[in-house]
Amino acid sequence: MAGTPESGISKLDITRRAAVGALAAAGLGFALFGPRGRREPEGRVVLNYWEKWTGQEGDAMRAVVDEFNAGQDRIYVRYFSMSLIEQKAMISIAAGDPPDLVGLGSWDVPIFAETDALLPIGDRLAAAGLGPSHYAAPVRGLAGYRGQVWGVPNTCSTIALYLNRAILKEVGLDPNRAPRTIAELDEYNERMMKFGGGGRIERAGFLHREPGWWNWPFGFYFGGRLYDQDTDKAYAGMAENIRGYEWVQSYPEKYGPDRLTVFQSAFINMYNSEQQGFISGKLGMVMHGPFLVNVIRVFKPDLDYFAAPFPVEDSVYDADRPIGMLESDVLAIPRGTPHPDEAFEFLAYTQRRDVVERLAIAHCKPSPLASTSDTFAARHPNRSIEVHNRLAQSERAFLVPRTRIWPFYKREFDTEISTMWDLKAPAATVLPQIERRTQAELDRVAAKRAQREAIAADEGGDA
Amino acid sequence: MSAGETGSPSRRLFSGLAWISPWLVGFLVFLAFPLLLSFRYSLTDYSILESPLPIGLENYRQLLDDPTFWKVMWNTAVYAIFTVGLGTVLAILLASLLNRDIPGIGIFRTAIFVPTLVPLVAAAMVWMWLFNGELGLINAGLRPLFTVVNAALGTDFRGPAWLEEAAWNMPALVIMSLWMVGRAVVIYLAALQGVPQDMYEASAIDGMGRARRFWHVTLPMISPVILFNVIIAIIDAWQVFAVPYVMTRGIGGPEKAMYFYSHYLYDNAFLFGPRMGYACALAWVQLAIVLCLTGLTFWVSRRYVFYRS
Repeated sequence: MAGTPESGISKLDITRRAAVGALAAAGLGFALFGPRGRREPEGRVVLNYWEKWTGQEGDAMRAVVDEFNAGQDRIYVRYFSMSLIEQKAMISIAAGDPPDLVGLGSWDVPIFAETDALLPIGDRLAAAGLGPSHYAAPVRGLAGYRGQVWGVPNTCSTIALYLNRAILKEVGLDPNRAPRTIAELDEYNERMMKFGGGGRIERAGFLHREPGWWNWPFGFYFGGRLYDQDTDKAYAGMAENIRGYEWVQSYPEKYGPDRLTVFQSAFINMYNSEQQGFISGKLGMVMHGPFLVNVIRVFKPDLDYFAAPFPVEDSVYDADRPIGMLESDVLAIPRGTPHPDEAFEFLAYTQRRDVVERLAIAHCKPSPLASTSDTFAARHPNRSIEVHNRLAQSERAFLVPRTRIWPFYKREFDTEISTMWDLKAPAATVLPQIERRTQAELDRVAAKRAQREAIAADEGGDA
Repeated sequence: MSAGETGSPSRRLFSGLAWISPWLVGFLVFLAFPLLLSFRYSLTDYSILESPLPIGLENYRQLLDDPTFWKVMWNTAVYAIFTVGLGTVLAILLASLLNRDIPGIGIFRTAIFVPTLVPLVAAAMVWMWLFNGELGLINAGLRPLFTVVNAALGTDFRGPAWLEEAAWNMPALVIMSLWMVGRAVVIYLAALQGVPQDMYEASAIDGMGRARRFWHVTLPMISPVILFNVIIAIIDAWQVFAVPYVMTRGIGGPEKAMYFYSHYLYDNAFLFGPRMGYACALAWVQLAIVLCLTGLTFWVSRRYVFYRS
């Protein structure tokens, strides 16, 4: 574009000046008035803490961090809430630039531990008075792997059966008594089933696939197990598990898979909503964690509920030793952190009983500790928290299988549950197939592990 | 003349390279290098957290025996066939309808294009509601039809549970993909507006009707654009990830009916082990498939695509 010869300035120059000026003004404005991060006090060791919690759970942890920052003048913890934390942690650790603290799930521990991606902290914990006896016995295993402790379980949860008292009353059942055995659960379910025109299901007692997050534990309620860490063997196909999934299949066999699927589609994927099956009254009972109550409090605070250990097969019933799934969040220190001592100081702070209980109450979870304060249950928003506490202390609480290929194994159940639910194949066929595929993967990983160890031994020998 | 054009050739070369260096460095560091590295990793057992263990072609060999690999290949191929085929036909038809001078045409054009601006995750969430078997609008719309049919035939047809029944997963996803044809429609619309009017006039004088004019004039004239859109659609279809991932909560749907190639690749890279080496092998096979399909499309296009010289 040519400018006028008189002015000596081209239109292009003017446009450029205007663009550069506008950019500079925008930059200056951003620098002066743009968003500000939290101010970090000078002279403190700054720790980066990555955590998976968001919303109310994230706010509760942020309050703990703020309290720690305000309570001393040597360390400052920066709290980052993020999704897909395992993947981000994995990449940052591999790249040599990890956070100082990372909040993982207990199921993540095996892969991070096996690859030395975390610092073992058993000795430090013992020295700080946070040894094994600080935690409920079953909880101890959640942050451990192959004889080492790789983090601390800062919150935990157990899975129980939640019941709607109003529906129990409506169908003539005792509103204060939960089913204890699978046979009783079936009877409760049958009484609660309600059909409309054309045989359409209007209400169900219990659905195995709601909320659909735990498709793998049904065999445990029949005395089964999925994995043996010592022998590195998968046991999906064992007889007890098959009985468990035959029980799962008995529901679509009785009511028809199509009818159940259509019924459930009204509230599938609606956990955080008043249309959720249990909250809306479409389901009389649901297998759930204690955090369900946080949703109840938001969407239907007047819902009259209570929880009980999930029923089990008659042959394995023992009132004093309930069976239930136990999992936890694990706070750990990644390998390569520049400030392991300071990171441990914060980690130890989070394990004080008052801090643990405050977090548990905000998250609506039981305490992972060996004992609770006298007021813990009274302050807790979940009126059945004692049930979850009891499950967390039970010697028959079961954990997510402690293997690095758990995501693979779990996916097998998550996809094959629909094969069984739709009655396309019997459990006796599907489960051994899952076992075979999982065992092949376990064997592959074991072979690679052995190869790596041999190479390391060779290199050690050469050195 | 600018200063760059007056200097010596080497100075001009240096100046040119300097100007494109941001792109060049970005390409080398963030694309070419990772690409080569991924090939190297595809020949190893690599879990991100452990050093890569060389295993030669074992990952590629394992693909052949991996039933899930064949399942995701099948799902992705079926999805690609339907979305590319139906998407192309629908986009051309919509572009033809929008290529008219009628009042309010801008509103229709905007309505077709806007869905492409919606983030995929948000779109997936909306469609999950639409596809809801009990409460969804799609089944609500079908209900009167089934009522009439059932009354007439004494049957018990009902709207499907689109996302819960394996058989309906693929149709649901294809329907949703057709909702997002707006980008192709805009390109077809531009091509249609570039077709010389005198060709339509000449063909009309020769006695051609509207349908024959569309077949013998319009389609040949926009065939290079069809080729372009088909290739882009093939590449997009083989990389489908976000929508089925969100709709199936990362599981891949009942019986893996909505489990696609990129999702399986992602699972291997970050979840199953993780097996980054295996995921890299999957990525290279995916690249080879897309290159082959693109090459095949070009080869077939030699007979059907007409370029105005």
